[in-house]
Amino acid sequence: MSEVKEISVNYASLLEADARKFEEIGKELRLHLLPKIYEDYELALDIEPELKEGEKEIARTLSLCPECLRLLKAVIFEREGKVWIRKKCPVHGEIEEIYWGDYQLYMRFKEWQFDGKGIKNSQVPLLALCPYNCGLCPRHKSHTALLNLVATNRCDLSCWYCFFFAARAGYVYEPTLEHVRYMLREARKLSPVPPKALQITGGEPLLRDDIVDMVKLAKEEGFIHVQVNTTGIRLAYDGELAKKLRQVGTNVIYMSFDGVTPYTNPKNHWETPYVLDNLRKARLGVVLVPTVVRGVNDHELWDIIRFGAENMDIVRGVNFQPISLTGRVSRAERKKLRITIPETLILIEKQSNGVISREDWYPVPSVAPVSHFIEALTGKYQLTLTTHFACGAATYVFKDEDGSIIPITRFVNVEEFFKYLEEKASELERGKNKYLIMLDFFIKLRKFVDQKNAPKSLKKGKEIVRLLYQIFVKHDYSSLGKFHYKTLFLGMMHFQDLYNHDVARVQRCDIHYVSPDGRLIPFCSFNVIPELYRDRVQKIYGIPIKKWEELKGMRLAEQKYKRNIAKLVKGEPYRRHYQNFFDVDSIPLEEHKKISLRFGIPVED
Amino acid sequence: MKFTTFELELESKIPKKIKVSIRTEVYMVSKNGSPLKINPLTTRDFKPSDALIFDRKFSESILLSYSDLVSGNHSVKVIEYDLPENILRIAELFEVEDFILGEKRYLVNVYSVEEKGVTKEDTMVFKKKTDALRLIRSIHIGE
Repeated sequence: MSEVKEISVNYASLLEADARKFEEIGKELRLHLLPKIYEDYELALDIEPELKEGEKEIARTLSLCPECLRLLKAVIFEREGKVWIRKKCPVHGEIEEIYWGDYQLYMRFKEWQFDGKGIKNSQVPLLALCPYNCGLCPRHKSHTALLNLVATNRCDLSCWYCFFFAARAGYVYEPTLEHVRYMLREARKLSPVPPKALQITGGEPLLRDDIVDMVKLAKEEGFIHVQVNTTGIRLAYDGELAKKLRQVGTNVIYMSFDGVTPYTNPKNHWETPYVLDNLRKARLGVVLVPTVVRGVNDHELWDIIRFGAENMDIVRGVNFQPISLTGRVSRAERKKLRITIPETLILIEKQSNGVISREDWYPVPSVAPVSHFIEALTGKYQLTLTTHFACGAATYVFKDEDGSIIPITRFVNVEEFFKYLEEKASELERGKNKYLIMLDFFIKLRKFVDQKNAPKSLKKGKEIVRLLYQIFVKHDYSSLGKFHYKTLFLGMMHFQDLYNHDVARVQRCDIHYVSPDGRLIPFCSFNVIPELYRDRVQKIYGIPIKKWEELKGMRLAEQKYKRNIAKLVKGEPYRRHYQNFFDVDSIPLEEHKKISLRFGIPVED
Repeated sequence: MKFTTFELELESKIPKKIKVSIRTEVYMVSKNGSPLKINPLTTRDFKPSDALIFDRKFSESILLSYSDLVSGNHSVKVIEYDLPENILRIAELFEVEDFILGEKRYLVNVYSVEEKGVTKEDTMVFKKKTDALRLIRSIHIGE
């Protein structure tokens, strides 16, 4: 079995196999599945991309050619207030792409880079350069913060831009529960910090009849936080499923939500109000996940936040994802669709009239000092978010009694607080008495909170100080849960593509997929180079569609969702959720139908 | 048999501030002998084809890889040794000075030497050079 072409798994014969059998297969296959030089990729590291007039170098890095996947040297530079990346392939020429749409924000964010401690038990030997050597290898700097598990590649939608789902892939990838058990156990072996948060994703994971059992299994295997990534469509019709998911410990639903109108969110606009009502009944929270596309929904960013805030009884957060342009995309098309994190932040600032400014956001690794402090205090390794500073941003906003939205940065001096924690962590590591440090912490804590600008609900009894005390002194994280229920988390995560690809980001990634052979693969390798990772391995563990249909006694095509728009639009929940965002009577039924059809979702007459 | 190692100075600002220097010594252990420091055969400039060997030396122990080299200004010297016959083990001692943290660490890689090549057996990190050298002195055949 020296070549990938020769590797095959007869998955249909493994449907009753136990976790141990999947472990045997995974260990046997793992090395054979790794990309092979000259067969899968080449290196071209002798070409240094040059700067042109008016450009200022910021950094050098490694990247890939979008056409042939050659590893190339790249330069990151500033031009006209924006940050760009350029690389030059000996075969396909120069490739230039916007990297970050605002130089000033880039320079502010870079100050918050903290690197992780790496992996103590890497899963693969070093046989190739990054990024051709995934599972987690000794180069990887961050442990897993969120583990992704693909439950199925089946989907009840067929969105025009997606090439991942079963009908287009030609096989069904759907690991059995015993196979999932193996994958989760393999992931939990990670040292020094095993993953505690799991996202079950797809395809559409709610198409699986055993999805509730899968969540239960994940909890049994030690995952404290389990979220299900879905369009939510099944939950709109099946309130009992929402209740069952909650009962077995699902922490949150992670739901696609691209805008507040049918024009911007043709995927699940009509179903969302019913999903939210069913989640309310089940007391199961939801994070809204808009994919931001320039010229498509970037004018509705503030409305999406307002929608989240209006439904804060059930919406825990909004996590924007600027589009990742996977596959081969022309330069003109990229220019039309591409939007980066800082551009999204600036649009939110403009659309909210400064209610949430660009300064209210911090890069993901800015919270690393919190982990460092607790780690130094307790002597136990802590989950630490150490992604590359350019990968994501976050903030928290509070909804005050009068409905106004107040970012946490307006009444907590976040910057000084994080710097203070890092300084104290360092003192603890150098052996300073921890009781003296705690005393200092307790005295200084109030200094970081500006009570007069705090939301009214938090002024009562100095609740924010108490929350911080509970978390940092008592290590009582139930108070963190309480904090979440009073706030809306706002996040932003820009997954890479082959055009803006940066190996320095890949090496710091903390969102990993568990592959069916047990490897943990960084998100931006798994999905950005699918021919070397996602598609390669899932195909081997997949069942051809015809065979799968014979085994299951059902046809894939029959599972396609057909939407009854008339019924959904007429319902009371539809009006209640959207009336503050657009005139719900202004769009004729035929127009609704056209929008759905154009997106690729059929409608019932 | 050839054995390759590195010395370097690296200063990088993005994504992470790095300012580090690495100085290297190599010791051999032959039959019935105590460890002996050996002199290099040649030194030369770093080439991209050395990158994988570089990663194998430094990524696991100090999280430094070729990608970090590329990100900053660096001067890397590739040092090649010609291992005499009858050598059964070698130890590689790196003095790693981190100018950002203001600390020195001593990294020891121990390899077994066989006809087919050199295989890494163990990696250890010490705060004091004396402890690193004590470990190297304790390397005997069969231990």
